[in-house]
Amino acid sequence: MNRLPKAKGKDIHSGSIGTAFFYCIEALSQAMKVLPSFRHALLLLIVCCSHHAAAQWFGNGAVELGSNDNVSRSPVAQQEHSDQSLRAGISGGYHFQVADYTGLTIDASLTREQFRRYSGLSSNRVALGGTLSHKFGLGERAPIATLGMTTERAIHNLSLRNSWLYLLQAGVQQRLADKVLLRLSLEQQLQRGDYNRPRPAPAPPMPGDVWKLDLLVASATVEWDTGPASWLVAGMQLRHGDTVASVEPSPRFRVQSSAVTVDPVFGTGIVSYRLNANTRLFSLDWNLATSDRSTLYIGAERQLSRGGTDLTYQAGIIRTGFIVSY
Amino acid sequence: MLPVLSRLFRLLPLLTALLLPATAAVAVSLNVTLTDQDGKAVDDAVVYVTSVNGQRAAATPMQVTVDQINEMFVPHVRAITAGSSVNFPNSDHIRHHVYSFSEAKNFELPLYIGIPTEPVVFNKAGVVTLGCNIHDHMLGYVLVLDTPYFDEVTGGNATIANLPAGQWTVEIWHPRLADEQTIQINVDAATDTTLQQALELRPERMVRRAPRRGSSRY
Repeated sequence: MNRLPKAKGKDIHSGSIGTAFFYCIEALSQAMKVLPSFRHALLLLIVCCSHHAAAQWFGNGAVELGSNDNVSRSPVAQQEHSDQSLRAGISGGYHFQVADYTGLTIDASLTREQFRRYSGLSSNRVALGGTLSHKFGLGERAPIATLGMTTERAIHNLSLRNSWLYLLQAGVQQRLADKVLLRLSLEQQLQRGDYNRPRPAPAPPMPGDVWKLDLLVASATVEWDTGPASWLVAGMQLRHGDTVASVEPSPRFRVQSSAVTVDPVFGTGIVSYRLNANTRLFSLDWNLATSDRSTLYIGAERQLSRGGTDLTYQAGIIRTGFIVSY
Repeated sequence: MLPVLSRLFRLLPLLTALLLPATAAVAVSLNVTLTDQDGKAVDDAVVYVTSVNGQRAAATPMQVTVDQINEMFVPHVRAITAGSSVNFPNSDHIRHHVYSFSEAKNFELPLYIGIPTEPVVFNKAGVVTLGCNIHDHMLGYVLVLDTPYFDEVTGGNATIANLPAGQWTVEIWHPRLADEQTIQINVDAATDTTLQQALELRPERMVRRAPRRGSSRY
């Protein structure tokens, strides 16, 4: 059985500033191991830093209140668990305009998400990322292509769910009309959980690395200005790959899953299965600019997932939040 | 001798009228006060005057500046006469890429910081909309005019000085003006003219600069 790693004798999910800084460095180190091109991005950053007039710093703060009616992603209606969460985070970084039409953005973020009922899901997240953007022409209607990478460390109250997350994203955006902006993106997500616990007896052994997930996400969003200070964002995502569902042990789930482990987040007798699933996600958010540097939003999201051969789950999320930028 | 001198004295008024240059018509000021639909003083407007009979007074080219401060064009609206030149210094600590696609002036100042070497000359009358290719929320205007009689509105007030008496057309321009404002006035030779006007302005647009959920500014 894997042991919990210790940092200087303290539990790793202590949530201190020192722990966050440790994981920033660890995130950078992990990113350079897993994504060799990150080294090139870092070299470019060092070159750009030598010309300070090209760099602009920015910072953001955000808080979001959300409610999810199936946070366990259970395909069994009677075993669905709902919960509410409060998420607060800060992020910031530098933007380097390296050429007339090309920019490089390096950013870091720190987020705390606190769940009300299932505190094991609560987490601290530290992320480090970089995005290269290129604008194909002059003016607001010129398309912009982006290529980005992010490494994130998630530390949950229940350390069973701790993991590293690596994202590689390619996107394009274009303003189609004065009030309409279209964004398309393709993202590869690799999640690597810390622990690999054996499957409970007496069934044949199965891998326990439930939070080792590979996912491909295609997204499309449309922003529509509904007024001088408000806009709607309609989004659709297609997610193909691994997902985790938490239910009571069942042979029907076991044969369709690729990993399983005991997961006490939702109570005793619950296990988490890793399933291969296709998920469609639809979202709609209404945004109000309370100033030219702050936004209030309210939105909803619907997830429709089909895993294995006949495992389907649905989840509904509503959220409201506030963002400020500097 | 005396009859000659006497004749000269009688002709003196006529000689004076012929030899002295024609006295210019008396010039007065037009004072304009602008408010919006809520009664607040309007800024970023331009008031200019054109002759009713289509005559154009000669306009002297100017040299002015439109700066870039805190990711904004300052001033937001600049009025100039045709043939004037505008400097675009960048006082921000980051580079900008200024451009315009307007019919009155199509130009580009590639990525720079500080003061460009050459000013931009605006020869054609019309509205020139300024943008920055990096910061989409940056917006500014240069109003190029064919008349020397104009003023930029500050704190709701504008004064057009040295306006000859007569009939004039007063035009008001603002980037958020819902309807064109044109007023016919008769300027009295003896006194300054005052004009008060309420404008119907569209709300200020904040969508471009406001932050997005899950997105960086860049």
